[in-house]
Amino acid sequence: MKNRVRAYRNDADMSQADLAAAVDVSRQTINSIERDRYDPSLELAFKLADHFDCLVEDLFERETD
Amino acid sequence: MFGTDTNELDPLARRKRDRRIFGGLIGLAMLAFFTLDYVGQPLVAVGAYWLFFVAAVAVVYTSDAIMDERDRALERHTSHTAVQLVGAGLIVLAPGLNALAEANVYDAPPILDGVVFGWGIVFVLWGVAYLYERSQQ
Repeated sequence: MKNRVRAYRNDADMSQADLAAAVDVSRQTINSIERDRYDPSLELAFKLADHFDCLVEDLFERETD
Repeated sequence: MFGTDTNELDPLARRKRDRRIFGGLIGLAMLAFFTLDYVGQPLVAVGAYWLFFVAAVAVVYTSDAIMDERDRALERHTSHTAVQLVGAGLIVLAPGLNALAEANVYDAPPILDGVVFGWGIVFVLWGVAYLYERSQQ
């Protein structure tokens, strides 16, 4: 899955630590998501979307082969 | 940690604090064990070790910050990999050692039999845990 979390975070002028604190996960988790190394749970995906006031599908996109 | 009344700290600060408490308790467990054992109190040493270890485990289970979903996913993947490795070893070693011994080719040392037996127990426990988890869903 690809995502635009880093772009949304940069637009919001937030650090990874700020976003991590906002959605109650570790900074490493945010870093892993942004590097496409970890796909978050649905719950966390919705939390991120709520935080950035956008839709989950604005943040996450399924990779097609 | 320990409920919501101490959650005035942000999640990252709580995570750092709870990890320090966890590490400290493990350190104390080791220190107490070796120190008390050294001064000739082996039973008290084991008691103190268990006490600190139980406290450390309690921190993990009561803290809402020490592990997040990625930590739990990592733990699941690591456990899965470990079980797969043990399974592969068991598949090769259990019948292999028996066949080699019966053919008078190689007699494995008793410790290797113990290892295979221990791995077998791991799989029995895995099966019991699997059945329990399945019954809960």
